[in-house]
Amino acid sequence: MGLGLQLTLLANFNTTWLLLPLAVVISLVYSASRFENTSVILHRATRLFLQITGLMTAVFLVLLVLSYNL
Amino acid sequence: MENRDHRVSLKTPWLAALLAFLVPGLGHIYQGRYFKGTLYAVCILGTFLMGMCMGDDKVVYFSREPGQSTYGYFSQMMVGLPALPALVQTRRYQNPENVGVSMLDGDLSAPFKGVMISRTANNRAKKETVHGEISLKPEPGDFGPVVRGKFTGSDEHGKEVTLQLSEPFDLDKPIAASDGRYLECDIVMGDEKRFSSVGKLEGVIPRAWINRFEVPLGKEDLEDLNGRLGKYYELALVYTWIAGLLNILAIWDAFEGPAYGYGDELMQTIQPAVATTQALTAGNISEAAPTASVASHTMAPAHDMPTHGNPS
Repeated sequence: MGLGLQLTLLANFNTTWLLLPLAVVISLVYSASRFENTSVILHRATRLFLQITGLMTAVFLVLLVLSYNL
Repeated sequence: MENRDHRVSLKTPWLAALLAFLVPGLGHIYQGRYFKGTLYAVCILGTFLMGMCMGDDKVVYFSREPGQSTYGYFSQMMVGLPALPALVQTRRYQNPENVGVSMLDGDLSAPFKGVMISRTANNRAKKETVHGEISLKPEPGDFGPVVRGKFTGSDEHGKEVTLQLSEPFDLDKPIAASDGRYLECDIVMGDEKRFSSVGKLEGVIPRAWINRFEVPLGKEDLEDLNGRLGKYYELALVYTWIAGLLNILAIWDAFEGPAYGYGDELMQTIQPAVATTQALTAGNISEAAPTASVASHTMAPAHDMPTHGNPS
């Protein structure tokens, strides 16, 4: 895939979505560095991911309200 | 270290940490912790490579030039082998021998893409985009060696173009971050003895991957990249930084084991107590009352409370 096509695809894509894979990776690696048990890692990672996305959503909503009618 | 869970075999911790530094996940695979090794490799290398792709392979480099220092590299460097070539490339880039040339040591033949600037009858410059193959070589001249050669290709309309080339000749330094190596020379006409310049050929020939990978960006390259990628350039940097920072956690995990323990310690404490409680509900309350009390205080979810090492 050429750079031009890549950039076109990226341009039509809200960069906020790129934070989601980052949140997944951070949750998984952080949880894996805390525990050894696979199911515990996955459980903790899921919870951390939901916490991160929840916080991001809350911040997003606050900013959305504050920017209303601007 | 004394509280380490016996189920986690760290083998030689310093070697595992070194391997985890060089390739994320490799230290854990060496220790036989395959799930974690795979998880670290996929997550950390995936994030790093995604950042590299997003940043057109130009976000990882080390520079200490005033105003262009890349302190973020110290974070990227923690990914290990994928980022370490930047240190070598910086040395190569800053080598005094890495300069542009106006004379060739040997033959040069490469694909060329650029602009042909010629003069029209009324002495106005005419620019045409051309692409094709350029071949140049040093030849003996009246006052020493000169660069001569030819270009064969086509213009923007697909019309075949053949040009005779000669000095003045300029070729960009061999090691730089840009994909193309700038080349400029005169278009000439005439026989073997006498040439007259009729225009100029400017453009780029491909730069070898090894000569541009993780090479420090010049000011113009940086401006060009920011112009082309915009906010994705910043995002690409963030991705590579985070990958490096996450690998610090993985390195420490390889060296010291999981920070909070195996993960089932509280369950191991609770399960006998729960079993006792169940036995109590079946009848024998008087003997096990203290245990039941302990169990009721430790019935918080097993994963909520960090414990260091295995209590057993």
